[in-house]
Amino acid sequence: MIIFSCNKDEQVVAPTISNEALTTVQLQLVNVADGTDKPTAQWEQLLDNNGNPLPVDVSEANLNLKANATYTAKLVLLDKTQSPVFNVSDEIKERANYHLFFYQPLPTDQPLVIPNNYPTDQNDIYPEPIPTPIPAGSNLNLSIVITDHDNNSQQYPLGLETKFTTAAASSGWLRIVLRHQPNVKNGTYAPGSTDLDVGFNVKIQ
Amino acid sequence: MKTKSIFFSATFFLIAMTSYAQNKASNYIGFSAGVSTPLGDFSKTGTGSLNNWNNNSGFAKTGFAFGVEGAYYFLPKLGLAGTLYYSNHGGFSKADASKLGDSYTDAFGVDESTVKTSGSYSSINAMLGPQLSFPINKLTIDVRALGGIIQSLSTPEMTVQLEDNTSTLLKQKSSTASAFGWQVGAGLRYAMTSKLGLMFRADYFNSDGIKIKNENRSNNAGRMVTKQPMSWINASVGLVFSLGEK
Repeated sequence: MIIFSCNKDEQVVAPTISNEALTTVQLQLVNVADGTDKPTAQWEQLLDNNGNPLPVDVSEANLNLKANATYTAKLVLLDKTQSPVFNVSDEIKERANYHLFFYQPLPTDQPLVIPNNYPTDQNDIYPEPIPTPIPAGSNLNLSIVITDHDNNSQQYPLGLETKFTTAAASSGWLRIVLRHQPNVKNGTYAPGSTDLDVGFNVKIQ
Repeated sequence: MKTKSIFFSATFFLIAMTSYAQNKASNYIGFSAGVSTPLGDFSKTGTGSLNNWNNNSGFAKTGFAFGVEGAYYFLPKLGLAGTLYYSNHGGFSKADASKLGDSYTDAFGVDESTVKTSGSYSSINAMLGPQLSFPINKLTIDVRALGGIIQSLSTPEMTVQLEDNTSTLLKQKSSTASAFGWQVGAGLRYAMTSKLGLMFRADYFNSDGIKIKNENRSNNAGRMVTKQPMSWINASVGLVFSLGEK
């Protein structure tokens, strides 16, 4: 008996089975020179019982930093729709090879890391609590360097761990965007889609 | 290491068995065809799980093999056997494509992935090695251990599109690479006339694998086969023609 195996062309579409919700973003900083200086801030948008988003809660989205200081920072993402609360940061870390966080201090006179086309695009508004458009004023004297990396053959930054460096006293906002870049991550903002877009008030004093 | 041990043990076994030889085996050439059943990683259909993807499973199917073989006896019972066989082990089925699609959807955290597959495992192997034969009236029992080359003619191809991104399609390409392989087997020859006989064989083939090329793997995620291990067992029937005087 001879069995001839078929080798005809096949095509299938495989949809995803489940997705986590990103409800809560926490910034946890530690002053390198003063371990007791541990500022935190939280941005949150929970869901109602039907899975619809509730108003954004920015009551704790306030980051107070000391001038001329350096902080190590950790970004914690939580899914509070699950019980117990699911730590999405761990999931992002496992999927680091196609995720990339971008940090945008505002106002700035430097080219934007995270593009914004307002007012050309009236729908391109900043996430709460950042005003659109950004009011004219002095720069926020904050620079951020990503310190963790993915496991790609050519390593790219990830952004769950960062170093915040402040200069003179100033105030403004910090926008954080998580880009999902499946098989197109190349260190730039453009490829892929946005998984997360949040904002924080920042005061350096 | 394990495969080499088996190969050399079988060779020594065959050489040792020559001390029991009583009648002279005749040189022959034969043609056979039969069923080829994939084994081990080659036959597996697992894709693995997040960050622990199975990069060896071959999704090979039960297929067929046919070819030519022969032996020249330089001692009454010990000869040098040679084989040249073609094998086909199918390709990805629709169920396989669906399973692979699920794995890439999960691996890249996308809403969906579209998997297109085509082609099949098709190869030729050329083997050479010692064969020990025991003629008993019209029957001859053969055992042998061979080594040689497997030349892939094609392997299944796969293209994965993540969501609507058509610019960087993940591709697993068809391979025409070659690799070392070895084979052990046993057979039975029945002489219908002084020149013509029937042959029944069972042979196990193994190769650590042929290289597989991939394209557009910008980010390390998901299953990626770079070397496909191959192993199978052939059960075949055929005709043999005796050469020279017995």
